Amino acid sequence: MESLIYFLAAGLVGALGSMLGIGGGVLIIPILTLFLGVPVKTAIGASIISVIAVSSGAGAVYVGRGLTHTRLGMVLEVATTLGALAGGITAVLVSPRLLEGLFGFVLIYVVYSLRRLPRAGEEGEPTGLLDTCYVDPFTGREVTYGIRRLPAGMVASFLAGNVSGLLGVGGGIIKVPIMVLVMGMPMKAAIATSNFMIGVTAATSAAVYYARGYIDPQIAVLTALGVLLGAQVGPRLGGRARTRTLKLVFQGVLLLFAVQMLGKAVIG
Amino acid sequence: MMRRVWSRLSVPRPRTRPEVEAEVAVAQPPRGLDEAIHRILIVGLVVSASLFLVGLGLSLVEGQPLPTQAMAPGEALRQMLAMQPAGFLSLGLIVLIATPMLRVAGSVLVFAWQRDWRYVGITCLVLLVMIASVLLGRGG
Repeated sequence: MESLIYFLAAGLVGALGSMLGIGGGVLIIPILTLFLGVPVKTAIGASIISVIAVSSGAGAVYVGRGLTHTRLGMVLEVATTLGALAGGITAVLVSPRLLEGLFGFVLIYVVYSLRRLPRAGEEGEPTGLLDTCYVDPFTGREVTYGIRRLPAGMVASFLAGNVSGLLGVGGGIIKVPIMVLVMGMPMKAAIATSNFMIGVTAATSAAVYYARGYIDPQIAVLTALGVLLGAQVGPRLGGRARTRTLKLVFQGVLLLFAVQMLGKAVIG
Repeated sequence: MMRRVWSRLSVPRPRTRPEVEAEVAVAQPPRGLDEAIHRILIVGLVVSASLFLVGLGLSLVEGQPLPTQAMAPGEALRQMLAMQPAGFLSLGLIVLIATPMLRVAGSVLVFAWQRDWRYVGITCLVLLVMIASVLLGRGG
């Protein structure tokens, strides 16, 4: 019975997440900790497992379109995996209340970042650094672009990996804006490359969580299957017109979760 | 050392479009190998999801509660061969976590095929961090 609730909640998260183009972690962890009484570290473990599952599923689709900048992804992954390793080790050591508090703040950032999705960077241009090109699947046009400010991108990637490892989220919501606004990547390429990186980053910290016993098969397996299934159903449910309303509701829910997580961190 | 890495990654002068195109054309890995590497993701996902479903099915049939502790790879394999649901579930989780690692290992092969030794090095570095996470997680 309990298992069925994990599965259904995760299915809902997967469907909602895929409609909004967001990983499930930001929703799974508060639902598990606030409503289902799961300890926060176990919730993080379950979330990181479903992040890997969704990333593996999505990766194969995006890659077929040739949007992923594999070389840049690899360079940045040196930073994200190091961040994830540090984050995973930190997470198993620190107090659950600290993690809950940090998660509350990350949720507030997510609400904020959903307010203004960057519109710039649709074009991009060759810079002489890691230049590449792809054919836009919608317009059929060839886009050639290069990378700017790689060192800043590396630092941001380390932080994104760190947040991912520490709190069990994918971190795409941190990486994509940086790739677009700081590194000058076209949006579609940034999303595909970020997605390509998420699974690798998540697997790094998941290995730490697994070995330290924070991956509870009952919760993790059902959550991962639920999110996967939800992610298949989601895009078929959400019409383009309703996305705005959906996002607004989503923001409201996240804000509520943020307050509750912060409250839980303070009161215990 | 970092500065040297950056300067090796970058090219000093902006290149003309034909030059960029020439490099991009070289940079495309052979289609078949590329596809095979990407297929790792799907195969890994299907294998782990199948292990999950068998594990869940078995525990349902045998009326056993679902396990709440994951086990080490060796133990998981042993329990799976003994048709224990817990073994299937743990092994599914291990396969899921290992899939992105195998994918990175596959990328090493792609770059080696292209004789792009710089990226063979970078990708090996990523693989090393992942291996470190497996080892550090277990010890201490």
